[in-house]
Amino acid sequence: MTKTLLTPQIEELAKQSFEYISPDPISHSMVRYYCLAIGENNKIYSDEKYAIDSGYKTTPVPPTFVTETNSFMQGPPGKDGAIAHEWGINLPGTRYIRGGNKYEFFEPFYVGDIIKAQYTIEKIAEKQSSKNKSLLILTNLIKYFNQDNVLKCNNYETVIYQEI
Amino acid sequence: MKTIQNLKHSFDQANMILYAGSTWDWHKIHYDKNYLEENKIPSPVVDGQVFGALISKQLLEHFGNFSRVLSMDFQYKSMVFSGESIEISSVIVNEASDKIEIQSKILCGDRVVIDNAISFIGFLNE
Repeated sequence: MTKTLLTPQIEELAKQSFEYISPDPISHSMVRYYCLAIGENNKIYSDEKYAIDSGYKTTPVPPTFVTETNSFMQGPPGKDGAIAHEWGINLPGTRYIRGGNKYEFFEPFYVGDIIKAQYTIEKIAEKQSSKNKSLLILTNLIKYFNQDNVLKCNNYETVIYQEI
Repeated sequence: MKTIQNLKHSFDQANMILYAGSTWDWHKIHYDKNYLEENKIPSPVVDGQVFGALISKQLLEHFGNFSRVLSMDFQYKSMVFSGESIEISSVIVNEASDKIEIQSKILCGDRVVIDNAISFIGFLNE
C-alpha cells in the first residue's frame, strides 16, 4: 500500500450525523417530472383513485425517488454544480467512484410527505487494490423519514476514494 | 429460472438533463464540457442511481400494482456515457410465500454495468 487514506480526521467523521428537512412537501409535479425522466407511465403515480385501488393510502412516489432526490437540501450548488450532502473529505491524489447502493423500503413515500434525511457513516475501511493502490471505502447510511418521523427507507450508499 | 421481460433504455443529453433536474442532481459530470475536459472524462456520465430506478420500474411492471419493492442491493461495475444504451435482464431466483427474490444484470453492449443486483418483492393482499 503506497498511501494511508484513513486518517484520524476521517475516522472522526464516523461520530457525526447530519439531518436535512425538506422545506416543502413532495408535490405531484415533482413526481411527474421524475416519472418523465425514467419513462414511468404507471397511473398509480398520477391518479389518486387508481393508487388507492392498488392498495396505497394516496398517490405514492416511485420507490427510489427518495433515494435519488436532493430536493431536501437547501443552499446554492457547490463548485461542481451539486447540492448533495458532503462529509468534507478532501483527499488529493484520489479519484471518487460510486461503489453501490443497498435500499431497504419499509413503506412508500406519498405526495404531500415532507422528507427528513439523516446521514451517518455506517462503515469506513481502507483496502488495497490489485494494483497495490489504496482504496478508502466509505458506506453512508441515509435514513429517510416523513413528517411524522416514520422511518420509510434506508439507503446504504458506498463510495470509494481510489488512489491515482 | 423464470425470466422477466428485458428493459432497454437509451441515454442522451436531453433525457440526462431531464433526470438531473428531476432529482436535483446538477453535478457537472453529467453535462459540463469544460468540467469533463478538465477531468479527462470522454463524455457526460449517466447518473448511476438511475439504474436502481429502472430495475425497480422493470420489476413493478412485471409483478403488478400490488407488488412492492422491499429491498435492492447493487454494485456499480462500470460507467455509462451519454449516447449509450443499456439492457436490464432479470430472473426470479427464489419464490417464497411472502416475497420473491430477483437477480438483475445490466449490460451496455458487452460491458457489465451492474452484475448481480438482488431485489426482493413483496405483495399487498389484493
